[in-house]
Amino acid sequence: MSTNTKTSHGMIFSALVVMALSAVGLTFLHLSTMMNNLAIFTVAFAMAALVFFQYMELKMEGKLIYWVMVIPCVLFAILVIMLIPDVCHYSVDFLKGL
Amino acid sequence: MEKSATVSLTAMNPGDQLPTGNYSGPAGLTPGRLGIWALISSEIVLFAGLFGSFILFRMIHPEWSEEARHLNLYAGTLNSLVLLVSNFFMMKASTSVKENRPDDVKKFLALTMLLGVAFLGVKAFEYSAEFAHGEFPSSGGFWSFYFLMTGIHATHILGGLFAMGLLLRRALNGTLGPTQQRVGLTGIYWSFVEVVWIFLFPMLYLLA
Repeated sequence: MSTNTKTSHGMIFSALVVMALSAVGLTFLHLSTMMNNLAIFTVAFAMAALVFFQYMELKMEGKLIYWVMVIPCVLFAILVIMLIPDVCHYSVDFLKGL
Repeated sequence: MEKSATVSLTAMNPGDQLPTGNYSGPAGLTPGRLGIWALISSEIVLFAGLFGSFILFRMIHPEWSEEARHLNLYAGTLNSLVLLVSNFFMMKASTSVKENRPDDVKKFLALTMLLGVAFLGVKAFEYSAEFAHGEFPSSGGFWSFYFLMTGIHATHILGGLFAMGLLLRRALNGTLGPTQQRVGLTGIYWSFVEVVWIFLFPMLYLLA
């Protein structure tokens, strides 16, 4: 078990370093705004998922902890939805490419 | 299980030591583990609110990308790597506790703390450079968000360092024994602080 844990932590650490450097490297590729932002957030979510499930061992927790984590996500969604009307009052260059 | 947990709690007298090891409460979790996840849940509300507001403001203020170019990308990248390595050492400390290797616990806790301090040092260097260029929290919307979010994150780093300092002192005195599960709990907190930076870094330094 200990060898597995060591290997697992080492592999996850390597993957996180590679992803962090990839995110920085992406900004030098001069992609379109939409693609650049999408790519760096995809990398960020992948890194966060690795840390949550592997380092924080969320994968081994029961349903209670998952529910505890769902509540802030719901609150976050409510906050974003409530702010969208404010944003829509402005011309959003970021969305023009869609 | 629920019944036995209730019995063990009511059987306690004032001054009794709290049960440790495999003790689990009515929820089937150690009290510390449930507590740390509840703390993280409330922290997610705090940071998600800030991140959500920042992204929406950023969308209606494209000129903020010009201000973001004044940030030191190399210092930010260095800090990302420092925090990744620091968290890796924290995980090694947690593993060392499970495998009953007290010397490794001390070593990895000290290394984690050292890198946490290094992170704050790099951040202080960045702040001083920004102040020298006349960028303050009152300089505009972007800078308000920047100093607020990085300041709150740095405060969390300080909190983690304080907790680790207490654990390291106990480990050095050889009194970590009954409270050794706190190393794992502090590891969960430290990982969360890393997750916050994982989002903070691209939002501030990398968004086009």
